[in-house]
Amino acid sequence: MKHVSADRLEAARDAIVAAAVAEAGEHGWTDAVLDRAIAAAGVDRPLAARAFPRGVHDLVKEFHRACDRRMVEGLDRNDLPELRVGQRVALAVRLRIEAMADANGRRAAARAVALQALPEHMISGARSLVRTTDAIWRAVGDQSLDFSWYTKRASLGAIYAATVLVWLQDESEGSAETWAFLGRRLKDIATFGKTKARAQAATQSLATNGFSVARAVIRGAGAVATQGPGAFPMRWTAWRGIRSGWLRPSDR
Amino acid sequence: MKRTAKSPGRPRRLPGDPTASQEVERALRVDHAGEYGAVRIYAGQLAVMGRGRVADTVRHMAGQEQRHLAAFESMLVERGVRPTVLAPVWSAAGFALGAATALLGDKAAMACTEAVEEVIDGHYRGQVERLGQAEPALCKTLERFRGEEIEHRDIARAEGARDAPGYRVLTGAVRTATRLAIWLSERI
Repeated sequence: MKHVSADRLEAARDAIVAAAVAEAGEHGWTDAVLDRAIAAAGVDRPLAARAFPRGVHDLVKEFHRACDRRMVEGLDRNDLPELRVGQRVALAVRLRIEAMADANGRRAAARAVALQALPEHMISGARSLVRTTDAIWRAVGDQSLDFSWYTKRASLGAIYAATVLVWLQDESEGSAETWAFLGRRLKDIATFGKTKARAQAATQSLATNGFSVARAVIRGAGAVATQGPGAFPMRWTAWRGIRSGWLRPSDR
Repeated sequence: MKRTAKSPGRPRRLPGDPTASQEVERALRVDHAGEYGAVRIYAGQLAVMGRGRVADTVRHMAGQEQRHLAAFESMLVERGVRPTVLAPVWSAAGFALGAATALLGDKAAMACTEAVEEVIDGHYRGQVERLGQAEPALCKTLERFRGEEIEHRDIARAEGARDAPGYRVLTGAVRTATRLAIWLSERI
């Protein structure tokens, strides 16, 4: 097999996706549409086969990836440091949806949603959603590397998917209803986050106190074992523990 | 069709094997998880040890692991590699392993360090072999970290790891656990 540079493959994909979007709104994301898009884009067949080895699966995937890229470019034109994280995410979701709208692709997007709801496309649909949410979080400057990496993407994925569904049926001027819906969903998350932080602080102090108690007990038991009972004024240690802040009965 | 293999000693990539970029992502993910686990093990040991000469040694090693972790963190962010799903598991398991071995005594804590670092040494060596040509800069970093991990292993031996209670059983268990953790973190 001859080596094909990544750039050439990218260019071929972009051209074919652009040609396919125009038709997909009408006819859906089908093999026939892919076939005609390849011809319309003027890409030779072997190269097209390399660019989309899995046919329609890859075509829809590349449609989403192209929109992701347009979203990132749109974000770069904005003054992100000026915005709070919530505002940045709202802007990113909006730009991502507008990237589909710009290409006159609302119907194509609806067809993509319909296709990716089918069983054999569900996994690639889920992957596309993960790629989009990952692109959004990365573009707004998220650097988390613990489990919150997953929770952030999962919660944004739910919001994004719901917002897209609202947008597909939104007949209001400039999709105003969609952006209002998005704002409300992000506000829900912020409220949830605040409650969660409070609950976490409470469990954390419980855990540290538990550890201190365990340490005091182990030390006490050790002293009793080596020096015999009575050699160790247990009550005094407990009192000292309370005074030095090991044991804080106040914030149970 | 004539084809020249890039590295003659290595089997060619087969369909279904990770691609070159997936290979690098896996390597970074597991290394990040490993350094995170190491930091947690030392944190567990220090939580039990408190003060003393051995604790200072552990603190020195923990500081180096912390720097390794920071290096991998920036690489993951830069390349957009997802962290392992198991981070919360490693956080708890690492801390528990550190605390448990330290409760068995300073020498058992050192035996734990020796066993972990031995496996990590081999792990980094394997990665450098696999990624050598594709990622020279990354391999240089890995080699430097590997040197420090070997140093930790030698410190642990000098501190009398071999005299730990149940040395064979303990190190065997820790080695197996470390290998399992590596295998899992590469994948999920």
